[in-house]
Amino acid sequence: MNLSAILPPSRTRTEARALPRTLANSLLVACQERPFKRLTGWRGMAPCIGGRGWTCRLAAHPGIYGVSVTDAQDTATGPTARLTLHYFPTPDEDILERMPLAAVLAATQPEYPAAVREFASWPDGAQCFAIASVNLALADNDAALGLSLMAVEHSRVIAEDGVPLPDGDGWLVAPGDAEVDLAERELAMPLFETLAAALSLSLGERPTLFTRTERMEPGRETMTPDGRRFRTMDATIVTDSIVWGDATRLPAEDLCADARSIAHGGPDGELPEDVHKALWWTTHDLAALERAGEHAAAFDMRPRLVVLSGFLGAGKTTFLNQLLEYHASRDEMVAIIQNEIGQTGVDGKLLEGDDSIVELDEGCVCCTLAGSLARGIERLTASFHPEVIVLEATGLANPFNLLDEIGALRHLVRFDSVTTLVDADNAARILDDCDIARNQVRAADILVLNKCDLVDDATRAAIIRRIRELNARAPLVETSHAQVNPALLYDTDPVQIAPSGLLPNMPEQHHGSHADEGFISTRFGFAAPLNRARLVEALVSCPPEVFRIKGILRFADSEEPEVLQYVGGRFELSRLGGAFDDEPFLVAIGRPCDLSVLSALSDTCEGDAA
Amino acid sequence: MSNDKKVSRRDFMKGAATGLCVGAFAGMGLYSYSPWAYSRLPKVQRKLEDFGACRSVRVTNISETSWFNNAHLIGDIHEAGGLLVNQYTLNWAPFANGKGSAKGSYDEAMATIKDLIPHDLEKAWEIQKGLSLHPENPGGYSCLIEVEALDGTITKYLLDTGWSYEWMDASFKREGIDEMLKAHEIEALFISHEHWDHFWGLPVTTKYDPRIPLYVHDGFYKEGLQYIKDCKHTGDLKVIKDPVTRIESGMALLKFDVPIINRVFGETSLAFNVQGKGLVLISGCCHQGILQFADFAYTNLKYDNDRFYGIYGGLHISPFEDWDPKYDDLVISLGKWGFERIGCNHCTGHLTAKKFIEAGYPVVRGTARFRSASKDYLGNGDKIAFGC
Amino acid sequence: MDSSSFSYLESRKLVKRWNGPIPALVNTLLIAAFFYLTWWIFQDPRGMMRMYTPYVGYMVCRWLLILFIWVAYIFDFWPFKRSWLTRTHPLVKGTVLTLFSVAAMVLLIKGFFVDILGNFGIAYFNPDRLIEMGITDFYSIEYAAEAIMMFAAIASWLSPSWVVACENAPWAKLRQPARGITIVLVTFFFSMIVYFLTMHSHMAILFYPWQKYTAICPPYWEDFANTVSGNFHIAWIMCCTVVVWLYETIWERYPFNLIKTDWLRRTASFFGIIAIALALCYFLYYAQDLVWGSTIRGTRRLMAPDWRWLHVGEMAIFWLVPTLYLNFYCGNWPNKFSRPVNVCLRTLLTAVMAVVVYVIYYKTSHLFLGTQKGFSHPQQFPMIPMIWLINIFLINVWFMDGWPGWKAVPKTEAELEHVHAEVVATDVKWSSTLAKGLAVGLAAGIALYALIINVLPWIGANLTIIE
Repeated sequence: MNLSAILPPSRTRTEARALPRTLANSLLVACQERPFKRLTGWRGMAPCIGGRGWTCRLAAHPGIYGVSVTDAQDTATGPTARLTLHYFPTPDEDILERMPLAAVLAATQPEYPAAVREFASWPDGAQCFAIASVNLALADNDAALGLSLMAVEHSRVIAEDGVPLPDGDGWLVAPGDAEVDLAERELAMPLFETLAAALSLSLGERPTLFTRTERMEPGRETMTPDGRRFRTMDATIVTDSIVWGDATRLPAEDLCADARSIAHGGPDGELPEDVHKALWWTTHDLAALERAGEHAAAFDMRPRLVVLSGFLGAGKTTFLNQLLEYHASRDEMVAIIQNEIGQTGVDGKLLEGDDSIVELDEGCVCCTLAGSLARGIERLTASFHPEVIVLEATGLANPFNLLDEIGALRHLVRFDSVTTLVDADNAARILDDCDIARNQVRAADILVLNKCDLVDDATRAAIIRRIRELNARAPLVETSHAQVNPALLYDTDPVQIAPSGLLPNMPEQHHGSHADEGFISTRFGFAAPLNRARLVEALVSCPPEVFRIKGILRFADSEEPEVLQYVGGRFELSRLGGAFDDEPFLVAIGRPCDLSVLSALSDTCEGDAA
Repeated sequence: MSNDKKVSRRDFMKGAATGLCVGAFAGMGLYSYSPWAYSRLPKVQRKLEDFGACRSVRVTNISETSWFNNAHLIGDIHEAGGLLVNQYTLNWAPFANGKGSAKGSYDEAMATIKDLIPHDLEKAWEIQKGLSLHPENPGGYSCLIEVEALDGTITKYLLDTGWSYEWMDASFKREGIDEMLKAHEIEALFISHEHWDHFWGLPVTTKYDPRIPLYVHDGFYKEGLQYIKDCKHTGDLKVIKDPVTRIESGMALLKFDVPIINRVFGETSLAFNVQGKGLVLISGCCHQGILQFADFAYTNLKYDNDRFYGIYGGLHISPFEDWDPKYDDLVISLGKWGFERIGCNHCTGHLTAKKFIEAGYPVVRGTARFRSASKDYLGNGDKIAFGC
Repeated sequence: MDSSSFSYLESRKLVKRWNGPIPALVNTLLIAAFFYLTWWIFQDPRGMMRMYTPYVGYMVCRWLLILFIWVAYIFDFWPFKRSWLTRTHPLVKGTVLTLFSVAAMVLLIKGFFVDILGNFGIAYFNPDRLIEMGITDFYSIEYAAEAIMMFAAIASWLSPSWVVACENAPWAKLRQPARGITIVLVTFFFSMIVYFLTMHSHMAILFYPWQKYTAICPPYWEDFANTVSGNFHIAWIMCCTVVVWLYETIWERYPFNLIKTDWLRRTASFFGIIAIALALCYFLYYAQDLVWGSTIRGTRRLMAPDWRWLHVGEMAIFWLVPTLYLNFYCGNWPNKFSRPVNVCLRTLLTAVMAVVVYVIYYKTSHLFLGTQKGFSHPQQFPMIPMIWLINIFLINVWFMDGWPGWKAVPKTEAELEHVHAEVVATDVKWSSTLAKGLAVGLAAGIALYALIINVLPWIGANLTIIE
């Protein structure tokens, strides 16, 4: 087995205390592949001070996972390490209700977010968030590597005497109800799958063996100091073990006399339903996985296209420089298409030689042909493989005029958003005087209110109100010197558009609110799943006045919600990949026109449930 | 009777009022600074390894411009298939074979120049330029470190040896490194990590002094170890295995096991204890992340005043994409350690350097000579001294 | 009994010129205006003399404070005659006495410390010598000022302690100036000893390499205080300074004045003040750890142990301002209960006011004092404006009899009697009910402390004083 990606290649032997580090290293290696991040819904990790663990986030759950090192020892067969997995839910997550009371209490403390970040320094405090344990074992001579997850299928603790509210008036937990009622294994599984998939990828080989055993843990009674009885119910403890390399070289772990083997076999053997399609069987060879075509979105390598708009002097270049450095420090590339000839361009020092900046030699993008834009993008993509392409419109361009052209570039780029910068210091005047500035705000999918340091709170509030009159749907961030972490603005994952980030809830607006201004946005809600063919039909026959349609929809022929992106007559449907509990909807943006084709969808969707 | 009641009630109040103040002060005095009080706060266990002290450290930046065009570099990497591609197959000089992106091979490339290094580097580089992608892009990272011991003797070390034979040879000559090497004045060469811009210029060093002791991380791959042989290095090769290796009094090499892009493993960085001042950290790229670096030094080493005094080098922020974008403020985090002299360059990021300056950190400014881009950086040919 | 056997401050009574709160308001306004004017002239980094470097300004503040204490408390205004004091207009008196103190201060700093000590004894007292040796101008002046200032800091605890706790013993019977000179020399001598035990090592480690041959480096407190910096001593010495004044003003020397035996009372007060100050010092340090998290040695500013110790002193000074204000301008309110209850209420009230002043100061000081925003910014040194303000209080009350809101009238015989009787208090007698109260109070006090340390982490997480 080749461990050289995660352990020093010329080392002589591996000490047990270096073992937990290899798990973190395998994640670091795997995350150098963009598809891996998308496949696992990776959201980043952060080490704890002192190196005793780390925290990470996955798209599967909104909270934070924590991994801490419990112990590490050298055994006869080689080094082993035991780690504890924790899950720290967000304070408003439902799952918190099913966790121990101590966890509920801790999660409602104001210092909770900061404490989670350094949870490894608080082993006692984090105890109530522990959900499973992970063993990692390495056989001598690197012959085999084993990773196993030991977790309770369903953990239930009944408060026999209840837990009264502090004021004695009623119950926090009524007598006989469950204080803890948590499917721990299910919660730990996404992280375990990510760890195993990362190991497959960084070892470059698929596992040779999967075993699952389960045993019964009989229930027991405990008594708190103040005499309350708690009953821990019988529990099934499931151990999933995965081995890479020569499985005979690792001792069978966790096999107690009363454990029952459920599954034992290689990748092509009889596997339990839930791990049949687990990522760890495939991530060792991403190219093959891409050819299999099951996870097309994860392998979508088209650069994202961001249209950067904003009136003259709003801070577009400053913002762009931040974006450049943010991606450059992550070894990614941002390419820029500018047409501000003679203006201060991007800081040349950041990109010496700045070959990744294409200047379109027509005076203004909105007057050029899509052809030259496409040529520019093709050239950039071929030489630099950018992560993001930013189309920096001039301060006097109307983004709505660009949307038509962008629709034609779908095979080259993935349209992300129109980002508009607004200069808080001058916005009031400019928005009153200038139609183009108002359109820039209306067209925005993301609004950055810049130069907030130059205005007082009252002015700022007034400007935000003014902006909200023009555009109530785009998320707005306030910055000074255009300083904002791009990760807050752009979701780098094509599949995982957070529904909340996509569109804030907005009141139903039907025509007329800004009819005289020229552009309106109209929202349609759909109570029932849509018929796919009908939707396509409606989109094709959309009037040309509609520039942009976005939304999250459910279809009768699929369980998963899907994201619709429609720009300038072309559209794209992709799976949302996350849970979406609100009512499906569409928002259409454009000049006032007859939108009956869209409204008809909602009238007829009940009748079409196929 | 009622009067008595009044008196006793007054007495009670007098006692209670006195007791309240006494009790509160007693609590403050007996508990506040006690071990029990601190058992409530999280603790970091520190090893406080004593590695001696030196009087001062001077760094001369031989070159920090690793490459001249970022777009070409990143473009080439992604063209070849991304960040996991083995750096020896990217087809950059001196490991180019003319077959184009991702088709390079160590052996084929070495065959073209093996007989020329290290004595005829001009010709070797010329051949390789003809075979490689973006032949004008390479630069290199290298610096000279002069450590003044407590008794006043000065020892010189090299950290890294750059990339382009042509550029590095010129840079060495500019700073007089070639003469020092010829005179065997330089005690050792440390290679921070196996990356192209820190390691591939090795023949420029062995050309002048093939017997120089060489320190490398045990994460070097076989190509790297072979290259050391092919550069006709005859001196002592030390492969570092321990987390902390003492080099001389007040100087230690710290080892970090972290995977780096393009199949490179691990980075070593230097730590110095400057007498009466505190700790000085010097790194190549700091791929382990500056906060990890500082945290590791804080947890493991003992240094004067228990203060962080200076830092020099490329300051990569973190190998970890953090999960909370709101928390990505390196500027604030670095402020926590309170360095007194910061010399940053190379892969720090110009905006980051600018932000340090805006935040009022003691950034030592440079002169922007010899193709260094910005005065916010310690550029090529600039010097920084710690402790004198 | 004639008034000459009393100090001038004991022999006078300050009477309001107008009813109600008007005198306090008028004085507050005047003091605020005078504070801001003088701050601009002498201290403000944007102003005229710009002493706020910060240490030069700090040195001047501390030495002025100590000179005022010497003039009023220890020398009892000698060489000025009592008749002059009673007859002269407060404005003239204030001006003359202040200028006299300033002259004495200049003589001490420039003459004694810089020219004599700095030229013939210890080099670091003289900035010019440091500059000659290659230290930068700025640090030379700062270091020298810091050393000279520390003398004043120590003396401003010991000198009033000698008067307040030791009741001038054993030289109380001496006539001025013999008594003043004796006490000044004795306290100065003790200050010097304390200085060498606490600050000399700190000065020695400021220089590179450490001055190992002249001072103990690293110093003995390193392990205990988790820092080599002398700021640890600044912390508890500042607390001592504050507690001395608490004891003298709002506590009316309670509870140690219940002890009848002279020597026992005096020693108990002297060491009691130190014990209370240490308690306060530890608490303020711990409070910061609870709010901002554990210190990290090796860092600077907010997370560093040495800065936290310094901040202990800064926080203590914030308590002194409302304490003196209550005593000088609010007639030591409340007075209507028994003494222990009054003392307890005043303590709680001033502590709360201290927190208010603290918050307001950190929220706004950078807007008008020319200091920098941020708790631990090197250019944010709240001790300076606070002591500057306290100095102005002292000029107003000691040198100007509280003009314009108050005027001095001589005390009557009976009142003077009362002063002497006051040395030993008789208003609290031991009884079983008192003991019960004491027990309940003790429990309540400990509970209060426990409550505070449990609330502090929450405050740290939820309240931001400085954005």
